[in-house]
Amino acid sequence: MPFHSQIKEHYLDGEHPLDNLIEGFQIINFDWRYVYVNKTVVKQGKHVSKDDLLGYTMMEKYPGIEKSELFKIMQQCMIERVSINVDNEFTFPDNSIGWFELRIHPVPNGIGILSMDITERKKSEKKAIEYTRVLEFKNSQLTDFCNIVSHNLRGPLVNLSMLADFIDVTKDFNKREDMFKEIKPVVSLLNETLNQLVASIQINEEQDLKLEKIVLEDLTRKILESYKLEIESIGAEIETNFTLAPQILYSQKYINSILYNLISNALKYKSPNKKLRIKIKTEIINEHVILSVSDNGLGIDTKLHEHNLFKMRKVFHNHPDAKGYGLFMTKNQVETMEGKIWVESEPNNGATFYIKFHLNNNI
Amino acid sequence: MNHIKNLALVDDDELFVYLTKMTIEETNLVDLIKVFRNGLEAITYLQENSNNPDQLPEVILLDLSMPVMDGWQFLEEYIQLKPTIGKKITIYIVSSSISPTDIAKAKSISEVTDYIIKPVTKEAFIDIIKNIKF
Repeated sequence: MPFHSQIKEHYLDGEHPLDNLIEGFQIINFDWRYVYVNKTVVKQGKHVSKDDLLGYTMMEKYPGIEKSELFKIMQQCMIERVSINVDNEFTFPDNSIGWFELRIHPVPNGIGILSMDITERKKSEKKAIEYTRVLEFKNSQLTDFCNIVSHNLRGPLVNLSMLADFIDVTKDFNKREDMFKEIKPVVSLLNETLNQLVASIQINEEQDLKLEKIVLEDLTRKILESYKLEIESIGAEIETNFTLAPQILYSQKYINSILYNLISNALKYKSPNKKLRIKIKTEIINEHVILSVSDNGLGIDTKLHEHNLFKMRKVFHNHPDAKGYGLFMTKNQVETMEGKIWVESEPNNGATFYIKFHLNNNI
Repeated sequence: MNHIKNLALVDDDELFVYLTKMTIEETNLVDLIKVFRNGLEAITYLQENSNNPDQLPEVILLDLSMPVMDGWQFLEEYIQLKPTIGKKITIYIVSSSISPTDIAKAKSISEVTDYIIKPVTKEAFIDIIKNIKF
């Protein structure tokens, strides 16, 4: 069979040389009608045949497309007759998402679009970004963990070993007795630190946290109730406002502990000269629920303590009950739920703690 | 042998302070040990006595992890204050931290003579005093 008739045969079968491209190719005329599509476009668009598109306008096939960024770009190509490359995220009518690398060129009767399906690549890029985020988080936890071991566990151990050495060489009976008495508190501190460390690791290890509907007003009222005596005796004024975001989807255990910690801190670090005022509220910023607990108490020098604010065994006031554990746990819990915590404060000017919840926690 | 009139111990760990004081006293190389429970107490004392060299320590043993103002923050403040102080003060970091990051950071600060990992034994302390250059 002569060569030219082979080609002719292909045309007769409805096949076109461009049908076997990896890239989709389509021509949209100046009326936004599909006047040419290859097989790949049919496949990429999840259509059955070319006839699903040919002759129709884009707006008929994809209602609302005229409002999209992509449409603006195609329009620019139609009018200005320039070639444009763009990566486009596309939502199919079945709500699945695909990514396409588009090369949009002017052709005599409109625009020609070469489209490459890069969904798989984009998916793995997204995965890689997520893995990196998790790795960075784990790495910073590991650093924190090493610091805790180095500072908080080794410290009391050093004391124990020094005590043991002194007891060994001290002949004075009374002095030895005194030193024996010193052992117990060190051992309990060591125990406490170790237990806290274990608790914090368990938070990071917890895999399937049960998410529940949390009514913030109810929970806060319950917590305030447990501090009733203290609140009354110092005459604290407490204002709550959850109207902008009354509920979240969260681990009951964590949100309980988070709110407890923030409220007890506000009560603990009150200013001796001012009547304590605490404001607890939620708002929504960029779709995220933000919970804030704000007080007019002692405040923290956030510049000075920037790197230590949420670290274990870091305290910022000469307060007998300051242990450097509450905020450390709170941060761990918030971050395990993929949220963020930060504080705005000045010494003697109160403090506001903010928690930004992940979108997964929206109701 | 060098002899120290004033030594400052900056550490919030009471037991460590008690034991280290005993260790140092046993060497008979120091007349007076002043204890500060955090960096702020120590820096305030230095500020108040900057014109009073007799009251200033020749040696500071500085802990890193302390409430209110930790060892690093103390050093930052001290570097600011140093030009106004009429006395050479030798600073040793004495910490329970074995973290290489802490040690490297300490070595990068020229005001710090050395980094000593707790505990401070009698021998280690005698070495410190021997090596001080007045």
